[in-house]
Amino acid sequence: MTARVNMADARATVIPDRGLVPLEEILCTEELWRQPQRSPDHETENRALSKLVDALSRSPRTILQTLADTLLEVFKSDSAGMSLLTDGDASFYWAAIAGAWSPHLGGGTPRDFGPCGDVLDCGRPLLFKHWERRYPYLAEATPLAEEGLLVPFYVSGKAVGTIWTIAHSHRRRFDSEDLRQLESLARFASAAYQAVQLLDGQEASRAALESMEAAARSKQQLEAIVETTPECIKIVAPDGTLLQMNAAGRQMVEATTSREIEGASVLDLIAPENRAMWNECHQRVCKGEKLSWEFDIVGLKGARRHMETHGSPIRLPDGTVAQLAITRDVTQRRQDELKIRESEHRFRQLLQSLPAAVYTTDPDGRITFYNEAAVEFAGRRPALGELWCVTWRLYNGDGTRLPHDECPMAVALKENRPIRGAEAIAERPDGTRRWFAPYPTPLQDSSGRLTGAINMLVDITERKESERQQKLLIDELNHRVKNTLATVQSLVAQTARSTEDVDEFQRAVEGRILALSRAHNKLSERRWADAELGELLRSGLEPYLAKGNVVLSGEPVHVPPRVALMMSMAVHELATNAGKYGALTSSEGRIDVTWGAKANGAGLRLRLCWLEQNGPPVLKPTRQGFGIVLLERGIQTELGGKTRVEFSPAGVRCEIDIPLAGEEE
Amino acid sequence: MTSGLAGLRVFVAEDEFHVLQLIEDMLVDLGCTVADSVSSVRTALDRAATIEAHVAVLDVNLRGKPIFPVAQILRDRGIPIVFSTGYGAAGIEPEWQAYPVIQKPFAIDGLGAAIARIAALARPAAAPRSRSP
Repeated sequence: MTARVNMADARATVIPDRGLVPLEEILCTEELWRQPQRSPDHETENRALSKLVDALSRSPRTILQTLADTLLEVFKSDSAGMSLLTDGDASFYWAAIAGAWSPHLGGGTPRDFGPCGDVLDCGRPLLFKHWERRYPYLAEATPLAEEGLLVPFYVSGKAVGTIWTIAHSHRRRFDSEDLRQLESLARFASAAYQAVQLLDGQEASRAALESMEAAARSKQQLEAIVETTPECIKIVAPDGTLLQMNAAGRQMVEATTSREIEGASVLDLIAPENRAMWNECHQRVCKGEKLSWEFDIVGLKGARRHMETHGSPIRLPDGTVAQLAITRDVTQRRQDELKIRESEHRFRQLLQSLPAAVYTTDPDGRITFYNEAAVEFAGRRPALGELWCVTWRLYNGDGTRLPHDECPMAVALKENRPIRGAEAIAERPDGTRRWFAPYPTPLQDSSGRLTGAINMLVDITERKESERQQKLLIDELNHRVKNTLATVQSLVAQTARSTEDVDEFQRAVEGRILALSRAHNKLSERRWADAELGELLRSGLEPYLAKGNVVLSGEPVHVPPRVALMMSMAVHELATNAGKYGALTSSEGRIDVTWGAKANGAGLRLRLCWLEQNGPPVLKPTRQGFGIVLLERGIQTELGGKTRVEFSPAGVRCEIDIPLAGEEE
Repeated sequence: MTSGLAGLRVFVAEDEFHVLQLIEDMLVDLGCTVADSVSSVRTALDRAATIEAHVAVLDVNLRGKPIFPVAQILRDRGIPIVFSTGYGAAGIEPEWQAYPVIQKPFAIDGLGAAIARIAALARPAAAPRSRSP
């Protein structure tokens, strides 16, 4: 259905103050900034501008429609167009429309009662929502506008119209980037409008020009367009001579009048290192190509700016082809880009220098960055784009396999929340495993949208190992204490069986417990690895050594804890017996203790000989006392050794022979 | 000393001489007979196959080696077992955890109760194939 909206009708049927919703009801401009933020799309914008400049130089008569078509294409909206003030500024007419509203071409709205008028009244862009609620005549402009974004444009400070883009459904929501681009194109609209005005004027005065195209090419017309456009527009002759530059351009190169620069070589304004490149591009444009490139300029007062230019060939009245360039100052944009790049670089350097494994992913979990510590930790160099984790394989603390897509990083991304307190095991390709604590944290942009995640893997293998060691140590300590208590319990019970009264019992049991304790001391000094036999004997026989009754001779032999404990007990029993009945009962008595370790076929054997001399005559004991049982059965049971005790009249002789190593029982 | 255990023949595996002596003395006091005592797993494996005993008292660890292969032979022969340990119940493999475990150091009453419990459970099936008259 094509409902042509007639502005005369609109004026006739609508009276401003009659029961309509207020303007605020149909405005939602602030919504533009509530949409998800996106980065400026300079590329699309530049392509559009370049195309428009080209169209302006080739076919100025149709430039307004080209502009409407371009708006539709750039914004991917449903309708777009341009409204111009007419009728002595009493109304707007729709000078160009593209898209769904094309049938309404030539329609329009009153200056004092319509969206275009509102935009000029406010002097700024406005976003409307279902404007027919306030302006009923627009109900005939179908399809209805869900959203309409309008931007005013001006010539020499006077408002002349608006350009606009419309969405007829919820599919398209305009945002702040749309606004930025529409404002940029509004500047071009101003130039295009002037070109058309100029052409209309000439047509009306029936100037003696053969065709409109010829007129557009004339230097005079171009001057008018060029001079008022806010971008730098210039025409450069093939030899580099600056033929024309508009006011905006003069400001960029720090010239106050056109005389300062026009007629001079434009190359003088280009930064020396860019001149060759610039001239090469310029020559190509003058040969018919359309090109875009970037370069630095140095203004007359020395200010350096970074420029982006779109050059099109243009035929001058004398037939030569020059370059028409629309150039914009992108110094700020470039500085911003450099700043972002610099901050990204610093950020990465910082992560790279951390001793902890760190990596980042995009919102889908694909790895975008990892530091060298991560490579070292994982034992592999992951490929960028791999999913979820830098590690080779993962396991839970209980040893079960942990699939990568269920790892803490995957959970953090899928549920958009940081994960803390997790522990897992990473297996490297070489099979080694490391315990680690991950710290995955989702990352959001300023509008709260998930942009990826960062994860730090802290190696806690040493902590886990020391926890395990500590548990082993406590278990072992517990075991030793229990066994020692059981040994003491046995000593007490055995001593009680072989003593007559409490005093004797106390002396005997004390002596045995202290012998055990001395052996413990020697073993503790060497962390229960072993003890040196000579030291054990010296410590056990200390009181007798000073008197010279006991002589020790033997090479240093390190014996394991079981042997050390048993030998200390055995020697204690021998010495006690000697003090009660043997060589230590008289000052002439003498005891020689000799020992040595010898390799013997299967392994190492320790032999110790206890020989008593010059004591009183020895009588064979009448019963098997504690000492004899310990020497004979104890050595055999506990150490797999043999003991021979002789009670010969000249003195007690005891030989102990035990395996030290190699003779595994 | 009189106890319900009088006459039981007990097989003992213990590598600490003093503890072995203590157990043997306790068994004698309980009226039992020490059928044999061993202090290494190798010897224990030898004896377990043929020992004539009503009950075995086994230290779970002899010189660093677990006693369970010995326990396996004794169980197959229907001989009830009491474990003794200095490590606590955590040192017992799961399949043996139903058996009585006495913690070192233990008193004669603890040993007697453990033997009585397992011997009562096992009787009469646990009777040795050939009992000494």
